[in-house]
Amino acid sequence: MADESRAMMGQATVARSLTAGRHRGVWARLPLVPLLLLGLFVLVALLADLLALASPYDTALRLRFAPPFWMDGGTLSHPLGTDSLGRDILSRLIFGARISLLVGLAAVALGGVVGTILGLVAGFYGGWLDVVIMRAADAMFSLPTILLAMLLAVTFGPGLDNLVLVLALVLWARFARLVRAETLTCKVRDYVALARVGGCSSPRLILVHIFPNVLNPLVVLATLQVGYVVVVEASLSFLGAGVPPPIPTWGTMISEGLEHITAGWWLSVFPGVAVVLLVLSVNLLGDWLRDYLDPKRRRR
Amino acid sequence: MQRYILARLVQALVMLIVVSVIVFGVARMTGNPVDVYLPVDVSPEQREEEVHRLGLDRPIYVQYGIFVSGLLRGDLGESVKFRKPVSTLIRERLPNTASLVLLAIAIALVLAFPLGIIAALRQGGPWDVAARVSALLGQSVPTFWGGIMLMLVFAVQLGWLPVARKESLASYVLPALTIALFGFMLAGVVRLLRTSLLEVLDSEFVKFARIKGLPEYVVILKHALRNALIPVVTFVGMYFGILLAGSVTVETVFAWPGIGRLAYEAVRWRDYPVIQSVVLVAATIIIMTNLVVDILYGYLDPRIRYGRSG
Repeated sequence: MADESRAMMGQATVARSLTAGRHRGVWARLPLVPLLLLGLFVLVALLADLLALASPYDTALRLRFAPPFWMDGGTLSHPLGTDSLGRDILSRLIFGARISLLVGLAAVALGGVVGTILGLVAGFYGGWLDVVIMRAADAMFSLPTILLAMLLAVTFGPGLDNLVLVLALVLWARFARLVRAETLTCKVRDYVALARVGGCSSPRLILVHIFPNVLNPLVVLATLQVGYVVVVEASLSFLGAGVPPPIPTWGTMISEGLEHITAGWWLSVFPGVAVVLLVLSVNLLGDWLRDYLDPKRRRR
Repeated sequence: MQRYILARLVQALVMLIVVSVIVFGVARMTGNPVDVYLPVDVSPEQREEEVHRLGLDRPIYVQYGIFVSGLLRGDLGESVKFRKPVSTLIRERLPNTASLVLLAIAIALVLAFPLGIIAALRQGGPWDVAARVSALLGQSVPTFWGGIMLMLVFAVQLGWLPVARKESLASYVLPALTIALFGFMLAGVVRLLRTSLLEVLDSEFVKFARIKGLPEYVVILKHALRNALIPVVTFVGMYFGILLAGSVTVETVFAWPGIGRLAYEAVRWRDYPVIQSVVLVAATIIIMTNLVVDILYGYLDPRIRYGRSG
């Protein structure tokens, strides 16, 4: 079994080197640093229960504001120090990664699917459907994301599921706009007309002939939106309109750090660094994907 | 040109209506809006009275009519926490936000122009790299956390500037710097200026100005920069509205008495009329600035008004 799969992989490698061009040297040109960082975040989030040295919830009032281990008074049992309730910061960071990634992926998936469907429909059918969908999308663009999310948090109450819904509500418009534009350029191509002449139904046309051609820019947009969502989620949790405490999230950790800013810099610095590293690696990966998937840019 | 302006006006009006429908709808998605902001222990009679006073027992389109006619008269309801008309609160707070954002834009522009011009002229040089790195960081650093870091260094560690609140002119420095550096203003202008300058420098009239033997600084400052400015003006105009609405986190960090901080307090107190009004006001400002920028753009660039959108 193992040998068989190895043989198949060998064949695939040969095939890849033969079909020169598109796939040659992909592995050499992969953006290593962002991928490694991202992999680290995903791994840490998945294995949070095994990795975390201390519980992210356990309070120890005697150990409040313990500094990171390299400073005076720091211990290795709390490598990045403790917060105002004596909770381990490293452990809260690790569990926070779980929330950030979960919210980022879930919101982009939900908003992406809804936006893509609406964009395909608007672009393909046109007419009043197009007008209604795109005017609604325009309105979403003029509503400031964070304020809208705050309004919805007050209306529906804070919570993880509501947060994902709110973010998806903001995101769908971005996907719809992109997919509609791409659909409009695809729709007038000869292969679509030919498929139509060949008796292809409209849903099948959309799914089989148009959607695959929209996929590349869609993947790039989705990647970049994950970074955006992570920042917005952190902002909302910071404002008290995101994931409610005591669930550890980077945004709430920064907010607690601000409250005790004179007591210790490590409370607000580490969760912020985590946000920056995650978002930076997602953005770099998105930029790379855009250059790689766009043949015009790749030739440079 | 008149047709162009008219089309833009109609578009803005449609947007305002759609936004008002969305905000109106959100309040009714959970059932009766009074339940969102009345205290839990209110008696059924009192609740009934409030429902009747606000017209919430009427058909939904009548309710929307009441809502819109209130908005048009500038009646945004009453704050649950402050016991004051929301319109008064917003009128008190909006100037603080506007002055902060204007200062931030000024700082960003002063820094962005030399950076953007040098980045375009010395493509691939150290300043170009610095501009690109700062753009990437501007995208990845959450604005409010950047503000906290500035506060940590300049207010807590060095003690040069006040930590928070609006007390003196020095209080403006940190929040304005935060918005300029981390609010994507600086990075956005640098990037835009660089690309549009590169494009203009490649054009025929710049080559002609050089062939004429004009000194390089005249070519760049007088001929190239002026034409590269159009997209920058648009960006700054559109971004003004976005920053005005997006200053929530920064105002919260620095306890700045603007509309962003008002929105934050409204979330804390579940002050529904206030948060709803801030969203409406912010969306209106964004739509209006976009309208003004669109019309200005039509004047600046004749291709637009005669082109696709007539």
